[in-house]
Amino acid sequence: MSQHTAYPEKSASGTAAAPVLVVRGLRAHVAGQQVVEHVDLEVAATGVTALLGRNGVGKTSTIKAVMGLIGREGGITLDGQDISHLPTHRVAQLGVGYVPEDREVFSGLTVTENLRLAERRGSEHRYDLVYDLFPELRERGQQAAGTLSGGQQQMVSLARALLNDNRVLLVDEPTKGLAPRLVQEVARVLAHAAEVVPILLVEQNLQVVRTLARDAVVLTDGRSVHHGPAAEFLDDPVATQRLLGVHGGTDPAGAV
Amino acid sequence: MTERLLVQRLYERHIEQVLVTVGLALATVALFDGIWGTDPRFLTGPAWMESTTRIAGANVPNDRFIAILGALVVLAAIVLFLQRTRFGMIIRAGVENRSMVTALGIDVRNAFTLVFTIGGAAAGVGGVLASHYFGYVSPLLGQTLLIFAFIVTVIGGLGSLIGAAVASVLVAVLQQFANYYLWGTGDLAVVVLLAAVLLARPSGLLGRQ
Ligand SMILES: Nc1ncnc2c1ncn2[C@@H]1O[C@H](COP(=O)(O)OP(=O)(O)OP(=O)(O)O)[C@@H](O)[C@H]1O
Ligand SMILES: [Mg+2]
Repeated sequence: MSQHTAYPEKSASGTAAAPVLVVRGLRAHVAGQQVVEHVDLEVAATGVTALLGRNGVGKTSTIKAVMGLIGREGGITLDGQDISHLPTHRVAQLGVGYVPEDREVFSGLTVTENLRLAERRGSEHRYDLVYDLFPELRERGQQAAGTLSGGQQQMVSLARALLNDNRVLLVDEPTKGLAPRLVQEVARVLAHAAEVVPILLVEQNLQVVRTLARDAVVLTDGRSVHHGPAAEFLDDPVATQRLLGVHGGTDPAGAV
Repeated sequence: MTERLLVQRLYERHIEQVLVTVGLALATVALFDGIWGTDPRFLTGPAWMESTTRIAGANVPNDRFIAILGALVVLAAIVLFLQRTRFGMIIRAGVENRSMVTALGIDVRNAFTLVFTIGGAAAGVGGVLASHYFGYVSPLLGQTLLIFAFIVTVIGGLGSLIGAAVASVLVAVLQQFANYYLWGTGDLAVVVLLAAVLLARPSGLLGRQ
């Protein structure tokens, strides 16, 4: 256990506030197969923390394990409260918003119904904010979510998480498969959201990571192997080449 | 209770669900057989239900109207429930993607237990209507009906309520017409229909592709 990178005493920005989400020695399995071996991570109380790594290293599985969607062991605390044994719906009720990798909107329900379903009891529902960020969702309220474009579905998925008063958001590859203009749009929304709620963000587009994230956690083969300020990591060509297989996205060639 | 103990372990595994529930149904029949025997108990309804009304030259027993009305009311109630209530929304979403519903903070198990209860109530209404149709009750009554229920579900398309409603009318009308005009070949005609639907649309009339 002591082999793992020591965790920085303070978050990169030097903020003293305790992290909102702390994961220690997380292991997780899917269909009897170990997909997360040992992950330590902290999500700072404000701003965006990036979760990075090559394809298949266990980023999505780490997030699913925190949500309780796959079997997990290890420590998971939200605002100091142990949530490692809670079922998924309890984790969500405590204020963990989840935007899954493949959007997972309910295709048979309308856009409005997708949002209504996401309304959590005991939370205020910020329809003003949601319709302000995504005016299209109001216009397309009666459309079946399954008939929306990929970008519009991503908006529904983000809106479901932003509707409630959450303690933290887990956002998995929100720009995947989107046109460049929409990538910018999603980045703008996340920057806006991060002003009110801390975010753990899995993102392959390193330009987006660079503009949004303060801290970064990097995984390799189901293990967290690097923690530190995001910009510092992305500026280190040796580290990014070794852990991500690409340059850190400073030069135009590195930007996807 | 059955739902909590057995079916909940089998969500997402529809074939096993059907096997377990049918197995339980057969076991229950055997149990009732052991306790009360399988001799039919004859029953008589109110006088009005035993008489007939003339429609378009045919004498239609009055209890048939009650049966049709009852079926329509149950169907309408279920459709309204699914389309208009939050529970209905949870169920429609949960059938599509159960884990995402839980990730929104909803305890899907509660909602599905309710559905099972409603299903049981609907089956109870069906049982009462059927007992008047047959004029007697017996634990073995269900088995003939069960086969038709299967056929109707498959023809309509697994997971489609409207499909089941359409298919039940189709199957019943076809069976009666074949019995009347084609020398009592009603059951055969239903099986032919089943085969034809499975060949042309393996997922049923209104089933998901
Ligand atoms: N249902 C499953 N059955 C078997 N193996 C799985 C399953 N889901 C994930 N895995 C395996 O777990 C590992 C981690 O997968 P995961 O989806 O967490 O990676 P990821 O870092 O999110 O990758 P990507 O960047 O491609 O999204 C992979 O090797 C994957 O093959
Ligand atoms: Mg992933």
